[in-house]
Amino acid sequence: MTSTDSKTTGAAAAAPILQIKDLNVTLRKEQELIPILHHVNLTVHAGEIVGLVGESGSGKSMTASAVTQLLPGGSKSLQGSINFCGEELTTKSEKEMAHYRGKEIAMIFQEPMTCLNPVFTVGQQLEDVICTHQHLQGGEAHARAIAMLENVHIKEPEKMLKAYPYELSGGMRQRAMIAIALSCSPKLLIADEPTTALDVTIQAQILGLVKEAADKAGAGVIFISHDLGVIAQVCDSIAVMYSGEIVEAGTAVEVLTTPRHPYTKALLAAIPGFTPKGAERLELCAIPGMVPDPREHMDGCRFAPRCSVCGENCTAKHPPLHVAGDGRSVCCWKEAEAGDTAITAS
Amino acid sequence: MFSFHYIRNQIIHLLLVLIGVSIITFALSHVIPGDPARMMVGDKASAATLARARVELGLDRPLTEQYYKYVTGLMHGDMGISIRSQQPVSSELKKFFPATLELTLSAMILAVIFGIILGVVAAVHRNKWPDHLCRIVSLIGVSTPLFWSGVVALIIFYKWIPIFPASGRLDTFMTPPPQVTGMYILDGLFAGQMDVVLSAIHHLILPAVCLAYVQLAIIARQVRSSMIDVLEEDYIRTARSCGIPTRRILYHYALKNALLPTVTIAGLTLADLLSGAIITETIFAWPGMGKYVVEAITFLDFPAIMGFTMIVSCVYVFINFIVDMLYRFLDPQIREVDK
Amino acid sequence: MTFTERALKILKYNRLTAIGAGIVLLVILVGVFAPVIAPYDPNVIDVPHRLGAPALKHLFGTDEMGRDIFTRVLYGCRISVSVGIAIVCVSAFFGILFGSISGYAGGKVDNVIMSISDMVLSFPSMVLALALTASLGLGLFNTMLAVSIVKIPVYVRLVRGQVLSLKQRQYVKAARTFGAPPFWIIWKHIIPNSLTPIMVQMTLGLGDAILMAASMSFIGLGAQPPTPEWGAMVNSARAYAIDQWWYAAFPGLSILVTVVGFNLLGDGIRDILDPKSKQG
Repeated sequence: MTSTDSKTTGAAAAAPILQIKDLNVTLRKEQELIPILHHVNLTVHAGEIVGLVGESGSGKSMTASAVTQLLPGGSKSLQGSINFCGEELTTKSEKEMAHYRGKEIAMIFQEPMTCLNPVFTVGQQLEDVICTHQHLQGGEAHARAIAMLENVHIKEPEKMLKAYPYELSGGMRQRAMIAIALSCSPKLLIADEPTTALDVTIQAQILGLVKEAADKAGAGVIFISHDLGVIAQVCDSIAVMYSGEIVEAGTAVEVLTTPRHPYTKALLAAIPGFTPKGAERLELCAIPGMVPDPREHMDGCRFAPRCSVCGENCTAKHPPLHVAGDGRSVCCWKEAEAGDTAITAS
Repeated sequence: MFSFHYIRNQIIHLLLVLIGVSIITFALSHVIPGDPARMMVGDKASAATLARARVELGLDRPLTEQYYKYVTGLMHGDMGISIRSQQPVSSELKKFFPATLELTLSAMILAVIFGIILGVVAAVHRNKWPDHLCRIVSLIGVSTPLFWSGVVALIIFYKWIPIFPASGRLDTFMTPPPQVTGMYILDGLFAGQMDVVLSAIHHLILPAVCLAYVQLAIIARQVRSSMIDVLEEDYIRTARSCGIPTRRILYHYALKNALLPTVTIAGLTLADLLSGAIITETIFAWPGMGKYVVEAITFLDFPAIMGFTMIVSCVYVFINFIVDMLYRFLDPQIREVDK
Repeated sequence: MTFTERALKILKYNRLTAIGAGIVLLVILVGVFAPVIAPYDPNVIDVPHRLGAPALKHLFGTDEMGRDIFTRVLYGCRISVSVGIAIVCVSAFFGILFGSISGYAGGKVDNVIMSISDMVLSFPSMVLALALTASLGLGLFNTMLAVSIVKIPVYVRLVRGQVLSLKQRQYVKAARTFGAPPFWIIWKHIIPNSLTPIMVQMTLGLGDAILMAASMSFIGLGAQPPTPEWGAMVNSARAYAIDQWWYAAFPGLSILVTVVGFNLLGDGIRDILDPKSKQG
């Protein structure tokens, strides 16, 4: 999409790794149907880092889980399309999905403390993933594991392999986790708040590793975070989620410098010392209210109750998706009304 | 693996517990009963006989001295003389111990293996029929009086469908194998006498299954609930997101974590099995310590009862000592804490 | 939700708890009205009709003295249930007493109490109960006493844990700074607040207490013949059980049903009083 595209060549570069189109997800909990994702569209290219940002409960992680078909709970319904390298994932069986997970699509999670199995060594867990997908013998898997740990800049890989997770610091565990995720050279890496639980200095190192994965290995990355500051550091493009919808998307530069959706503006204003160009510094740095319960049905914009510029239209009818140029979209009545002439729903 | 510090602490702890056990058994045999001497000589004995018995038992001495004598006696394997048989209690218990051990260990193996299988299957198929089956089996298991299930088993499998023998450890005219462990199955194997082994197993099945059933229920319950907890852990999500096959996640990644708390339960299980053996042995006429103690009760054979209590408690304490070590061996996190 | 609301909801949705409550109610009613319902006198001997199979006249058959087993099972209800309740109450009472002293006083007192309860716990409970009864003397009362003593440490540990955590609460700290006497604090703050887990433990322990008391009677320590206690009945039935299946079957089945009832109810009460705990 941006400069990273030039690194990959040929026709393959043009086709995105992942294309989510109009994805709706409903979970069934006990007798209740809970819609958690509404009309989500997302595209990830090779070597691109797409930031998915929003408050907790906005559906970021659910989007990621939908891609790997690891949604929580019992029965669920999925509508729309998730296209991964030309394959439709929504219709895949559990067995077929297992082939993708870890090999083609890898994940890193928020809690390095609990994400590794406490009763197995890092080596056992890492080599198991390698053996599952690559059919290597013990010695080869071991060599591969060491190479992977060196990849994430671990100085004593042999020692690391023999260590149990509790013997490692949070940062080291997250590195181990990244090594496991990258061990089979996935085409897509989903990083679900990988730095949230870490110290700032370690954060930077982990972000560096994620960037390396995209730049060197050419993997597409979905980077999930509630922290726009972190997103700003690594991402090429950004999608802002609110209550199960993507309310604004675009390149990182555009979204961060000229936010259009009131929610994005509010999020940016909530970062201390970060005032985007053209946006007024809002008085209140915190956004009042809370993300609505996904069970709650709303006719209008789901952000309306907390929006500072909420109008009549906003509470009555759901705003249309306003597509402005290449990959830039906003879902807000203000945008639709102001830029009437510019609307061309392509 | 086990630091010196840990082993030293464990041994000190073991000794303290054993001292505690000896204090309680001492209190039970010397302090609480109205008059042990009267018990020994019987109601009709004359005052002079009674007084002689008191001196003989050392009851005229201060308690501390009596305790000292009691403990030094225990250390030399002296548990007193059985009132009923006039034999040393220790040698009698020694005779009956292997039979109880054979029964209890077999029951434990049965309970652990089938309890784990049932619990895991129930957790994996949560709220489906295997889970309901597990629930019913464990509810009935913890609610059934052992003495009743034994009798019912005899009525069904001895009287109605005669496929199992009612009593004893071997067929009537069979000679026990040369004694190595005292457990007929093992000894039979050592001696290569397969007919003895088969007969021993044949006799063991009914009592062992009855004894195991209650514990099986408890273990299944425990495994089920810890397995359900483990399956909700983040590292299971990680394993799934790495594309590890479901079967391997369940039986390799999750099971090892879920079994850790079960190891502790297995230690407690043994206490119940030893208690249960008292009843099961009585019903199946299994010549072990349990049957011995019930007979001792009918004769009010006090030294025998106390000797039994002492031995069983020591076995229990010792097994828990081993279980604790095993737990540390299995859980790398706890291993670390001791260092 | 209030207690009653939650209780009603659980009874409505959790059929097992309702069944448990039903069984317990039935058992208690049978126990109370045994003399009214029972067709015969539990101890009247009728040798000509000894060891009779179940029939209309004798629903559960007769035993070796010709006594009506059905009548004896009904009377047995009284004994087993009241023995169970007595055991649980006695051990809970002393458990609360020692547990709160131990937790509140700390230091040496705590050490002594905890060591003693650890000592008791290092025996298999039934074996210790057996030895205790043997030294106290045979009989139902001593058995009850022995089983209660053996069960005390469970409550001591439970209550002590509660006290230790409650002691850290602000209102208890405040009360202590005002110089409120320890017993007042224990009575006013600690006992009411630790009642939930104690109640749960008590109901869950009831089935176990009944089983244990019956087992003790079975091995000849507890109730002595001709008392119509279920465990003692199965014991006297042993010689006849193989040929006269009904003799052992019915008293044992009554224990099973009663204990199932208490266990189901106990699980239910745990869910009502302690909503955080997972439903089994």
